[in-house]
Formats: sequence, C-alpha cells, structure tokens
Amino acid sequence: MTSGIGGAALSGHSLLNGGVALVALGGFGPPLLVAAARATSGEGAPRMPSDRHGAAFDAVYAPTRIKHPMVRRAYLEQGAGAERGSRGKGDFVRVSWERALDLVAAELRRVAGVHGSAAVFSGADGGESRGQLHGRPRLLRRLMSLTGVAVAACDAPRAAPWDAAEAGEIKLAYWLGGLLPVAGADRNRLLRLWRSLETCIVQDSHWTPAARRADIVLPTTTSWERDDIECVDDEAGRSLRPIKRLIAPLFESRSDHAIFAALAERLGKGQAFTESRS
Amino acid sequence: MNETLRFEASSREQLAQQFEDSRRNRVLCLEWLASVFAAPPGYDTVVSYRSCELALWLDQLALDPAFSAGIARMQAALDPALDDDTLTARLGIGFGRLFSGIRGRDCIPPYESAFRGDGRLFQVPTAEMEALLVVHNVVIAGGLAEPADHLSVELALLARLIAADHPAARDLQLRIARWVPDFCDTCIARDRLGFWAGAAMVLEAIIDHDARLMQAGARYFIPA
Repeated sequence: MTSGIGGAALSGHSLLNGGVALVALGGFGPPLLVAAARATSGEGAPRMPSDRHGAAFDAVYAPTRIKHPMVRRAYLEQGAGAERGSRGKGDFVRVSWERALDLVAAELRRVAGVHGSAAVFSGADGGESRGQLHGRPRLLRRLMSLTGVAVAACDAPRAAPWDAAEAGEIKLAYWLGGLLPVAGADRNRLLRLWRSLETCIVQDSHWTPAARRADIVLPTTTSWERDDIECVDDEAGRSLRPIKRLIAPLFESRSDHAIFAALAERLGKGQAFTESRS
Repeated sequence: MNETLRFEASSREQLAQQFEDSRRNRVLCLEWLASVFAAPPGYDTVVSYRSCELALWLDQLALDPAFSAGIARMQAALDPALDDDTLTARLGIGFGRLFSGIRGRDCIPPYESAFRGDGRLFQVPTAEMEALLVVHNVVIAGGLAEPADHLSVELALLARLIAADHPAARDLQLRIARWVPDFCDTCIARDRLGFWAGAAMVLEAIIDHDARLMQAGARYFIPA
C-alpha cells in the first residue's frame, strides 16, 4: 500500500511543529481525487409542496441506504457451499456491479439447472414503485418467465414457499423488499428456513433485516431516483403521464429494471427483456 | 499554545526546510486518514498494518505525543491473537457497522450533511463541496462512489490544497473544523474495536492544533 519506506529520519520533533519523521513515506493507496474530466452537477435537495412530503426524503437520504453491491465474505470466497453462520453478522465485502451480477446470474443458472426452477424462490415485498414501469412484481415475473430460471412467487400464498423450503425444495431466495425472513407469525421458523437456503439474494434500497441476512445484496434506487410512467385514470386507462425523477441515483444504486436487464443479458434474454428500450 | 508554533532552526535555509517537511507530513497524514475512513482495510492492508510499511507508519506517528494515544488504540485493534483473515473480517464488519448503515440508526454517517443538518445525506454541504471540487478542477475517483461531503473527500481535497500551498486550504480547514470534531467524538465513543476511534483521535489532534494556530493568526498550519 505504501512505498518508499526507508531512510526516514526519526526525530523527536513533533509532527505538528515541523518534525521530519514522515517525509520519506509514500502515499496511501489510489488517490481519492483525480483531475476533472467533466463538470459535476450541483444538484441540491428538491423542494416539496408540503412539509409532510419532506418525510419521504428522510428515507431517500437515510444513512441506512445500501450504497454498493455487497457480498458476504464467506460466500464470495467459497460460493453456495460456504458456511452460513456468518449470515446476518454484517461481514460483507464491497464488489463491483459486474462481479455481483455475474455471481447472481451464475447462481440462478446453477440452481435452476441442478434442482429445477421450482428451487428458486423469488418475489417482491415492499418498496413498490409509484409508477407502472418499475412495478417490482411485474419486472420480476418478466425476468423469471423469460429466462425460465424461477417461478416468480409474487402471487403465491405467503406460507407456500416456506412449506416448500421446509421440505428442502427451495435452494435459493431472490427477494425484493425487506421483511421476508421476519415477516410472519413464527419468526424463529422463518429464520431457520432462511438459514437453510444455499443462497439468499436481496435487492433493496435500504439495509433491511433481509438485506442484512443475505449473501448477495444489490442496491436499488427509490422511486425518486428513476423515470417512470403512470396511468392517470387507472380504471379507464385514458392517458399516461411521465413521472420524472427528482434526483440522480444515489451512491451506486440502480433501478430494478436496469438490474433485471443486466441479468437478462447474462442469461441470454437481454433483448427479449428490454425490447431495446431503456 | 506556543509550543505548537516553535520551529528549531539555526538558519533561514533550515527553517524553510522544516516548513516544507511539516507541510509534507501534514499532506501524508491527511491522505492516510482519508484512506482510513474511505473503506475497510483489505487483507493486504491489514498485513501491512501488522508487519510492513503501515506498521512503520503507525510507529512513527506514535512518536508524536499528540498522536500516541490514538495510535496506541489503533494498534491495539490489530489484535495479534487473530490471524490476518479473521482480523480483516472483523475490521470489515466493524466498518460496516460504524459507517455503512448495515446495523441501522446507530451508524455514524461520515458525511458533513449528516452532522450539519437534520441527519439527511446529500444536503447543502454536498452541493457546496461539489462546487468546491469544480473550482479546484478535481472529481471524486470513480471507485469511491460517495458524495462530495464524505469525510475522506474533504480530507483528500485539503491534502491537495496544502500540498499546493493554496490559500483556500484555510477555508476548508475551517469547514472541516465545523463538523469533524463531532464526528470524531461520536466515533471515539462508539467504535468498540478502536481502529477508527484511534484514527479519529489523531484527526481530532490535528484539527485542534490547527484551530489553535489559526487563533494565533497563523496561515493554516504554517506559522506566519
């Protein structure tokens, strides 16, 4: 990490008042600032029509946002066969989006290939979009039905997948939203079943109980950070209106649509998923 | 207070050399602290802290009475009873718990916005720091993916300004002094491992030293 050690003259002088003890040492890793190649935007906080609406930004700008793709250390090193005892301990390693998406796609393909698509338990629970395009259950069904790696469990009775997990039929959970392992009357049972899974993937915007207990965590945007479309008259469907994003995606978060499009690409269905639309 | 202003030199050339050494030391310290708070140490960095270059770096810092307590706390966190893998994991968990929000509201967001407003991130300080980066023609390195008011970004910019002997360093020092001491105090209180608490003690010592110099009318850390 550092270089150039050696020949540093140690001195009793204080570092703060002109000592020379450290001048021969090198730098500390890659620079955090680099020469500007482009102008940065000065995007400030959006104005809200009502003070009450400001509460929404407590969530958007919360310190508990998931910033980067993360993988549990043991899982990153040993894959689905890794020990599961460190799930929920917070031992995550930050990885690139490319690495995380490659891991997710490979694991979906492996589990579906070895155990069948019924062994992948996927669904959405919370974090619903205010628009139509980014509706999580819709996007999830589209990905899973096109790629055939899972049967989306969005509409299944809540107990059914857990019963299957108890029978050892579920090997992988891919969940959007945060409460899955603790949302039920018998939390101990749910946590036990969660621990029995070979791989847990959570896609969410905040460090929820599910995200903390996942093997792979993918950070998503909130509704405020993505363009969408809404139907003005939901019953009659008379017209559509755009919902423009208010702010750029925070940290490294991506929209569910972008994440699924990247996964579909890796699973050979990129064009079918996006139909060349962003 | 006077002891912080004393340079021992018998000639103008020696005095100039001591000024230059002092500035280079400060730049190194700020760059190091920026790296400490930017990410948890990886395996290679942990090995270096225990037995290679960074171990020597800590030893040299510890010679300074202003830093010795903080460095001792950092060194204690590098528990020799643990192997390198286990220590890397422990520090990774500690960093996530303290700074990444994994453990919820108890985290210490290393952002100026969190300490100068109502707790939300990406507020006015972020925009102000973005503007400052533009003024000084730098951008945040791609791998960091943090807002411009992250502690490490502010420290890295300050290091850059001091290295260039830029007069704007003083304003940035004042900016840092408005929120980083609170951050450091929180970090010292909450970091059970002690690695970042020790670094916060070092950072606080530097800020405190600079504040006293400024009160004495000095131009940032070099006596006028």
